Amino acid sequence: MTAIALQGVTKRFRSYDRGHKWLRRELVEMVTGRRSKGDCWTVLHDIDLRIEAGEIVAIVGRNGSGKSTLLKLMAGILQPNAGRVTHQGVICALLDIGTGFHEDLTGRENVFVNGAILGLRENRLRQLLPEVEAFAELEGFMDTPLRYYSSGMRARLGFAVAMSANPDIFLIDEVLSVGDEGFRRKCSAKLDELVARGRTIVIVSHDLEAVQRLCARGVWLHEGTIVEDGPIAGVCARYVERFNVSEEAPLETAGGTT
Amino acid sequence: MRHSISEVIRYRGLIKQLAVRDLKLRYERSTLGFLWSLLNPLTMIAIYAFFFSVVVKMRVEHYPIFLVSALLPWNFVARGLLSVSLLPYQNGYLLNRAAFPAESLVFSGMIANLVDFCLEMTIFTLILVGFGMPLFPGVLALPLIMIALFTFTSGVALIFAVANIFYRDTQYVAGIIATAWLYLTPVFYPASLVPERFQFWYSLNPMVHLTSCFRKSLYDGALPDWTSLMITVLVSFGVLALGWTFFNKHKADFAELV
Repeated sequence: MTAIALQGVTKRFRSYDRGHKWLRRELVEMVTGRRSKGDCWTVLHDIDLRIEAGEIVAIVGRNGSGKSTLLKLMAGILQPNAGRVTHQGVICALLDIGTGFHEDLTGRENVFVNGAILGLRENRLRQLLPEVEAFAELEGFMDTPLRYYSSGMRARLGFAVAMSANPDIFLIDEVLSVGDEGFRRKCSAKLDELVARGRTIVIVSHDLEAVQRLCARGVWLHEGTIVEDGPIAGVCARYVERFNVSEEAPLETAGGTT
Repeated sequence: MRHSISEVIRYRGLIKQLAVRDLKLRYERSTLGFLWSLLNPLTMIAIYAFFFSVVVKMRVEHYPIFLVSALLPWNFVARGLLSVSLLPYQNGYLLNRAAFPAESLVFSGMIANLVDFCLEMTIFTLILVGFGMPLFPGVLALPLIMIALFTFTSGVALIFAVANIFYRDTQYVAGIIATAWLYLTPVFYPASLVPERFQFWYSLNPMVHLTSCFRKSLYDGALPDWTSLMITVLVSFGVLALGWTFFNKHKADFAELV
């Protein structure tokens, strides 16, 4: 069964210049509902990609190659300009740790807001709360406002909520490097467990070592097109060779791509 | 349209969580709690009541009650126009990180707005009883008038939410509209003071009918004219349908724009 299918997907972004004609053009487009074609740049060109259920796939590529955009299209956050994106099952997109977290709310309150954003129901979250608390290693801190949490504690809480979402398809963008070594190992174990249960996982990461440990298949994206799609080891090897990036110390810093 | 209604119903948990977050942040975390939400309208009411009954000498019996019966619904609309409509823009990072219907943000703001309104209304009703004003049968029409007020304001908030995302200037324009609209609505004065030759144009403002219904029900303690109430309800649903359709037409672009 195919979990996610992209057929001929093209995504363009518009540059929003604020020149004197900007407002008039915007007004005309707002009334007619049509968008003008000018001032666009294409982030993804005619992408065909099929991910089967139970696969764990890594998407690698340099900053600006379109990885995060691809993930957002899969999640339905962005709509393609051409082509089709289809999926089977419940999707959970983890593009950020703790989306919707608020400093002034307690850990517990944040679990409910963040969980709801990920599509979890309130009574389900109430059931999962002990599990989340244990996984995040935050026993005794759940009634403390988030502002007193360390960044590691926040990340663990966010990851724990996302992990409890138990979706069919899990999209993860560059968030694997949270917490200390022990927590990271726990996350990998949890991902392995999800794969064993037949879940589909797509990971965008610059951490080539981690993706080689977790994934079987790699998709190399460069300037909006797929350069290579195959077993992870080969894809990573050629990617490293091409850009001369070291596996231990990637040239690019993590995150920051859109 | 039917699709987005079912989407919103599916995400009702999220709408609730966002509304709860909003209310908690506003009330629980400040020392005087929700007293602030009452102190502000009370001060305004005291100032307006003094000005219009003592300085302007409006010849209306029980002027403060006459004023508040229209001012509270007006404040509800003003909050929808000025604050709720900013929520999708202010929560842009959520729209860019998670796939959920963007109108959830507007509806969560409307729920929080409704909670404020109900608190104000409860206190106002207690004051009415204290002053020995007749509550029945007028109060029986209140639920239906409130449904009309809620749907109308939601429609307005949805339209301005789109505009706020497309142009940052909208919030300033909305401020000007709010001031003009307040004086074009019979809040400080009875609608009968408007000269005959303007009455037709004046009556095109749906707020004229909404505030008149509230005033009839709370100030006169009488049932509003059913035909005009039914038209008001229909127009309110029309505004909601219009606003929601407009919102749906543009919401696919939100994640890119915020």
